[in-house]
Order: sequence, then C-alpha cells, then structure tokens
Amino acid sequence: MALPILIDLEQEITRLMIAGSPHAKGDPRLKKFIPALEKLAEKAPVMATLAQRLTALVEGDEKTGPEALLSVGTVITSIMYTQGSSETDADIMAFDYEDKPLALTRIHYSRLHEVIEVLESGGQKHSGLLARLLERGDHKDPRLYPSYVKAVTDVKSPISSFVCEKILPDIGADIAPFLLAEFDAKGSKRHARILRVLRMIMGKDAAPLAEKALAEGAPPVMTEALLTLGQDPAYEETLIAYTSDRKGEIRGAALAGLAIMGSDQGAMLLLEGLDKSSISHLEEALVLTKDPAVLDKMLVQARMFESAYKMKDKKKTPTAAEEDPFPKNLAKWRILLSVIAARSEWECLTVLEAMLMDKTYGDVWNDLALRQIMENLCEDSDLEKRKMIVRVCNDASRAYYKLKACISLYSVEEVYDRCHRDVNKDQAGLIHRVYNIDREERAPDNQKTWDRRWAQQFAGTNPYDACVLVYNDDLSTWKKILEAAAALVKSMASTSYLQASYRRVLVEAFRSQYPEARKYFEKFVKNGADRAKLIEEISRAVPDAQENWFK
Amino acid sequence: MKITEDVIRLFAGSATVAANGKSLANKGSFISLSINQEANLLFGLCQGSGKTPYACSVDFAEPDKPIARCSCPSRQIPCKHAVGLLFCRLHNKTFAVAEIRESVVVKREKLKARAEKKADFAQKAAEENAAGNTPAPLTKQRASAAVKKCRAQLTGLELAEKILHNIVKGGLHSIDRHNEKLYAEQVKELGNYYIVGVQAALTDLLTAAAEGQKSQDFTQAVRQLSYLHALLQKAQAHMQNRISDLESFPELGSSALQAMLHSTIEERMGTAWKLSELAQHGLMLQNTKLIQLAFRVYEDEAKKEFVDESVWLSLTDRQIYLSKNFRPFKALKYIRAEDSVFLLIEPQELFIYPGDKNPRIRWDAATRREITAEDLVEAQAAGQVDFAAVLREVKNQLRAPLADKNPFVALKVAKLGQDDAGRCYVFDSQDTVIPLIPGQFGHLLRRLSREQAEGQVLVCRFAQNNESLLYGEPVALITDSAVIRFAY
Repeated sequence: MALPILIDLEQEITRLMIAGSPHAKGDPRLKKFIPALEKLAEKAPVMATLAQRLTALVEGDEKTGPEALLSVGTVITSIMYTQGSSETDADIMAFDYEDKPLALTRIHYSRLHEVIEVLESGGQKHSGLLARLLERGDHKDPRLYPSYVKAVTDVKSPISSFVCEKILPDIGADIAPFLLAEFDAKGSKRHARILRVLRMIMGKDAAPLAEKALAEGAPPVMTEALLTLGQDPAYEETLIAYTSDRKGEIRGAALAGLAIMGSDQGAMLLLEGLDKSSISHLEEALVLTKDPAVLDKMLVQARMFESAYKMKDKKKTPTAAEEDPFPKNLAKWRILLSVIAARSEWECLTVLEAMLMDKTYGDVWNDLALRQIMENLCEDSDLEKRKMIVRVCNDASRAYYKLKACISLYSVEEVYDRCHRDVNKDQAGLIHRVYNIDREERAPDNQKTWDRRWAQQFAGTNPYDACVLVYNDDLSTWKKILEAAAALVKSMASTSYLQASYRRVLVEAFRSQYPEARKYFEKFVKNGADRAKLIEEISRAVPDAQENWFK
Repeated sequence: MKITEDVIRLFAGSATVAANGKSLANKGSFISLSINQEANLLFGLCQGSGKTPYACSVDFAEPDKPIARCSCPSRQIPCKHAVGLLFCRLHNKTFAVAEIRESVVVKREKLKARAEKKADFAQKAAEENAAGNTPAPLTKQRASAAVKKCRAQLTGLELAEKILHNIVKGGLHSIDRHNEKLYAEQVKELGNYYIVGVQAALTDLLTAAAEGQKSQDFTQAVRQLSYLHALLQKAQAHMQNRISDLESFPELGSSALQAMLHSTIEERMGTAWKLSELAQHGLMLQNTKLIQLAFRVYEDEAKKEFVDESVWLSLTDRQIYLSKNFRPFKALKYIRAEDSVFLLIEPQELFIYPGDKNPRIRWDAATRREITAEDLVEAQAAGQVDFAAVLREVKNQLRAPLADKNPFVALKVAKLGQDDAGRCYVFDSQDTVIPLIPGQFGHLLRRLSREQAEGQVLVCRFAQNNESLLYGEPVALITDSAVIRFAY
C-alpha cells in the first residue's frame, strides 16, 4: 500500500493538471508536503528529488510551471508504481475445486465474439446465429454463460426466449450458479424470467428458491414462484391460500400452479372462476389444466357465445340507458378461444374449425384476435392444427395462413396446386413473405424453394416481384416479365424512382444470361429508359457485360 | 497440405466468408470438383445466382500460402466460392483428376517468376549479411541525410513539447470542443516531422481529456500527460545521441544504437522497423514453435485503426511475445483480419522487435500443425517457480515511465486459494502469493478441477490498480492436455 502522503500529493498534482499549472505558484497545499518529503528523504533519496521538483513548481513562474508540474507528475507516478504490493490481509482458504474438469469448445474469436455481441446487444436479426450454435453443440462453451444470463435478463431482447427455451435447458445445471448469482427474489420481470429458467433446469429443486421469492418478491417474481411450487404436491395448501390474493395475476398463477399439480381443489376453483365475467388471469391455468370438467365447461361457454352472437340483433343499437353486454363478453370469448387454440384435444379443434369456417364473424374478427390465433396455429407443432388451417382458409384474405400451413405440410408443387387460386395477381409480396425471400439477391435455381409457376402468375402484373421468383431457365416467363417491364417503363418514363425498379428487372435478366436480354435492352431504351444508367447498372452486376454486349 | 476447419478459417480471414463457403459446400452448389495430378490445385464450378457458374480454384503451389482465384464479381479475396471448395475437400467430396486451365497455368508461371526474383533478392541480402553481418554500409551522404532527419524529428519533438506545455498551462479542463479542435490542428502538423508515435500519443491525450470532460474523470488523461512527458524527454535525449553518433562519421558511436535495440523508444516515436533491419541486428530466431495463448481486437482511435493482438508462447526460448496486425480504417477492405489460432505455428524466421518483457514479433512464412502432448510439456517449462522474483521483475518494469504496464508472465502453480470475498490467489511452492483478478472469461477459473490447476502453468497479465495492488489477470492455463483460455 502506498504512503498516505504520496496518495495525497498525487491527488494534488492531478488537481493541478486539471486546473492548470499557474495555480501551483505559492500554493500552500503543495508547500506543506515539502518538509514531510525532506524528512522521508533521509530514508529514501528519491523523496529528495521529489521535494526539489515540488519546490521548483511552487516557486516557479508561468513559463517554467508546466515543465515543473509534468516533472513532479512523472516522478510521483514512478514512485507510486514502486509502492505496488501483492500482499493481502485477507484470510486465504483452500480453493474450492470442481470435481468435473473444465471443458471448452474450440470456437474462434470471430464467431465467439459475434455470438457474445448478439447476446449482449439483444439484436433482432441474428437468432439464426444462435440456432446454428445450438446445432453444432458449441452453445455449451462456458465462456458464453455470463452473456446468456445477460440475454435472459434483458426483457426487451427478442432472442431472449430462444435462449430461455432452447439453449439454457439444454445446458442444464451448469448454468444454474450464474443464474442464481443474478437472481434477486425482490426483483422485477427480469428476475421472474430467471426463476422461470431455473424452474426448467432445476425442477422441484427450485422450490426453496421459489418459497423465498414468494415471501419476499414483487408480483412478477411471485407469479413464477407459484408456478414453480406447482411442481410439488406438498405445496397445494400454499397455492390454495394464494388463490384468494387481491391481485389477479397472483390468483391466476396460483391456479396455474394447481393445474400443473393436477389438484382437484384447483379444478373446483377454476370451474368457479369460469362463471365470472372476467377470466383474463385464468388463461394460463385453463391452458394447463387436465381436468375434463373444466374443459367441458370452457367448450360449452364458447358455444354459448357463438349462439348468443348469432342471435344478437345486429341492427339494434342499445340506447344510452341500456347496457350492451357484449363488449365484456367479447373479452371472455377471446380468452376462451385463445385457450382452446392452445390445447390439443380434438374437441377444441372441432369448435375452432367450425368457427373459423363460418364467415359471419367478420365484424368481431379483430376483437377476438382470430388473426393471432391463426398465426399461432400455423406455427404449432401439432400437424392436425395446421391441416385444419388449410381447410378453413379458402379465399384471398386468408391466403397467407393457408400458404404457411401448406408449406410445412406439402411438397413445393402441391403448395402451388392448393394455394394458387387463393392468391391474387397483386399479392406477389405474400409469396416473398411466406418463403422468406430476399428481394435484394436472387437465389440460384437449386436453392429456390418455391414452385416455378408462381413467377408465371405474377409475370404480367408485377414484373419487379416476379423477377425475384422466376427460375433462370424459364425463358417464356422471363419474356413475359420483360415485356411487362418494358411497357411500364414507357408509361412511367418521367418517374425516375419507378424507372430504377424496372431497370433492376433488366439487370437481373442479364445476370441470369437470358438470351434475349440485349433485345429488351434496346426496347427499354426505346421506351424512355436512360441508356447510360442501364449500361452502368448492368456492367456493375455482370463484369464482362461491356465486353460481350456493349462494345 | 492437410486441410482442417482451422486452416480454412484462417485462410478465409472472416467468419462470414467461412460460414458462407461452408453453406455453399453443404447445399451442393458445386457443379464440378476437380484436382490436378500433382494434387496441389483444387478447382471447380460453383453455381451462383447467374446462369454461368463461377470458376474458382485454390492453388497450393506454395503450401503455406494458398492462393484463391474466382471468376465471381466479389472483391473479397478469398471469396466464399474458393472457401466452399476447401470445405468440399474437408468433407471428402469426390474430386476428379483433371487438367489445369490455361489461365491458371499462366498465372502460376508469373507467380513462379516473382518468387524466383524474391529469392534472388533474399539470397543477395543474405550474402551481404554473411560477409560482415553489419547494416548496409553508411556513407557520408547517408549519414548526413540521417542527421537531417534526426534534426527534423528534434524540431517536431520541440513542437510537441510546446503543445504539451500549453495543455498543462491551460489545464485539462480547458480542452473543450473548441480547444480540442485547435490543438488537433497543431498536432496534425507534427505529421511533417517523422514522429507519428508522438503525434498519436498527443491525439490520445486530447481524446482522453475530451472523455474526461464528459465523465469528469481525468485519470486516463493525467496518465497520458505523464507518459507524454517521459516520452518527449527520452526521445529528445535519444535524438541528441543519434545526431552525435552520426556526426562523428566515419567513427560511429553506439549509444543510440544500443537504445534502439534494447528499448521501445524508436517504436514509440513511430519508427517502422523493416524485417531486414531486425535480421541485420540479430533480432531474429529460426525454426521456432509458437502457441497462441490469447487473442483480442481493439480499436486505436488516435491512429484510426483496428489492432488484432495475439499473445504467443515460444517453445524455443520460452518467452511470451505479442504480435499485432494493424488494420487502418481506410484499408479495412484490403487487410485481412486475424483470428484466434488453436494450432501450433512454426515460423521459418521469427523477427523480434526491440522491446520490454514481451516484445512484438512478426513472421512471413510459417507451417501449422496440431498441438501435441510433447508441445504442452515444452510449453510448461516456461512457468516460473519463484513468484518473489517474478514480482520484483514486474515491479522493475512498471516503474519505468515508458514500459508496458501490463507484462505477461507464466507462473507455475503450486496451488490456488480463495478468500471470503471470492477473490482467487495463486501460490508458488514457497507459499508466495499473487492475487488474481479475473478478466473477461475469468469466471472459468472457478470451474477448474484440482488436476487442471495444481502443477500446471498459469499465464497472467500483470497490472497495478489504483489501490496499489499488484495482481495478475489470468489469460491462459497450460495443462498437460490442453491450453485453456481465459480470454478469446
């Protein structure tokens, strides 16, 4: 440890370097160090040097001040480095070695750094990077553990759920100490997420932690704690006690915990809850319950809402004195449908299919969040649900869902056969969306995952989008696309930003070696396209274009 | 040459290119795969987005320096197609034996001619060295030109000193946006005096002062002031020595030369050593073996460049060296980024720059192979057993104003310890203890088994914190079976 006088002097010198050397002249705070340093010089000669330089600084003028100050600074920095010590007062104990040796994967800096950046920045684009990491098994590298914890605790991170649901459960108990170190029972949503992951990893062993969180925590942490306790029937009484909490989310989590446990008393409470008009807090419990009576009651209620909706006289608007009961019922109905869609029983599928088939629900489509329900069903791992989506989608407004479901179920050709009538000629963007096509870079033919007939469908109406879909060897479709683009160039000769789009179509034709590209080049120019710009863009995309076509 | 995934990644130079190349190989984008009869040229056709596939090749005429060629329009060299070709080879796809294309034959001949010319030049230089092993003879004209340059450097140093004094006079708090710009213009003028190192150090000071203004923490700026003061003083003295040495021509003094060869003064001033100069002064080792212990990339704002820094252990002289690959922002496209290396590198000639405990190294040609258990045993011999001596040596280095404040040392671990606060310690066999403060992946230290730690070699980067605690930051652990990295 450095001498206190040196620490104080260093602070004074730092202060002067910030304030400026002229302030040193005659400074009493500096003067007081000189006698003390001279005394120390009897044992350490370097202190005499320091005292001399300090005297020169205090007595110096504006001209010599900067050099004198720097000179004192350099000496004191050197002395401070000699004062360094590795000694410690701490009580050093034996090291707590692990039984299992540490194993690292051989991930290179470039990849590891990229993954860490993604995990810690919460970027949206790179969930594919993590998926590849998981595929290769490199996700178990312990160097990534602290970054995983950051990703878990960042509630706004879109990759967080991937880390929580796929990566961390696969790593298992090894990551638990890192999560535990970050967990705060009194914490907020971040800590609730950590507890959720710990529940997945530790199972029943997380119960003591959950008990503590339940006693001390804020509502989001308590919610997760209740779900954790649901894994152990010993906590049934505790959970039942929380079903009468004044906060809806706590009551709901307690019921969900009881549902996980398969508690009869929990099922009774759920049945009672279903009688009430507001059931938003019961959603998770209703999804998790295995009780047939609860399921029956949900289905009966859903059917009752359907009947009530159909019988409702839509033309009659309630007067101010009358209360319209339906807005409240809509909220309950929406939750029931969402629960039914999340469950896998065939009765649920039947109710849902009948409803989605019926086109009379147009004016409550948004209120019931049916769009979201269909989106979820398209991505559900249950094949039957996706098949149901194919059955219920039979017009242009639902083409997106049908395409998504079909892609996961059928061959490329069958997708086109089943869906092409549902897709309008102006909906080429839909194909790009469902196949996740990058418009900026045309994929080679052997990487195209869609049927070649899609390009034919849009060739005449939307050449810009069709040229991304067309196969290189599909000459007749290329011809149609270029004809349509040339016609559009003519009609929009004065609109430069649109011209750029259609120039792109011709550039792509050259790039894919379409034999008549040169002919269409002339046609574009004749129709008003800028010749120089066209040549420039084509040459940029096709390096030997100048040599082959524009000598 | 044996193609491994590490070799391909090193060749690709960028993770993205390597990933894209691998993806091409996996997707089966290669229409044809061929190899010449001598098995030193891989070539093939890869289907791109156009109708005509790209003709790509990787030439192993010089096995250590494979050359990628491709007809694709990408400016990236090597492109993903060439890298994909190597992945096809790695995945044991069938390569048909075929004749080399005419264009490749022509390129190979040109390359051969160039290599022969280079070899002639090298041989001539070697012969000149063997004759006297002295630098190129100094003529009167050369000496007078060198004196002129030194005088210009001295003028530059005086100018730099004036700028520094003005900054100290005004105080660091006075470097606001307006003043920073004024000082930056003055610093820019130093570019005419062959002292780019001093120029960069002054730019660093301005950056640190500006940062200090924002955070109201001037610690870094104050440190930089002391460093610059020491640098200017030493540089001026060194230049005076050089001038007096050169002016005594034809009788040459050697004091400046000794300073050049045994300190970093020239490099800190901004001198770029030529490899031939290093060889002439005997700063070269032959047939060495290097193991990488750590790798990092950092941004040098003052010099406007990225630096890829590696820490190496030489199995030949058991020294820890540093290598740096400088990538100026303006030339990022043209300079390949380096990456971590898990193989053993065997440079034919290892050039060592003058420096402190961990000098900078560089090499041109090297072969690579997997690290064996014997190599690890050799590496472990670098571990120092007497920690008291290590601490003395480190403290000696730290107190020198221009020395590197973070030397790397390999320590033979007798045992590890820990305290109540969770801090770890390393002991030697005499029970001398060094505290360990973990760096980026330092948490891994807590996950070691007894066999992995005791009796093994821990490489640490030493530092001293504001409380004057001298500690080690674990960088890598060399065990009997592996090198465990606590950094990238």
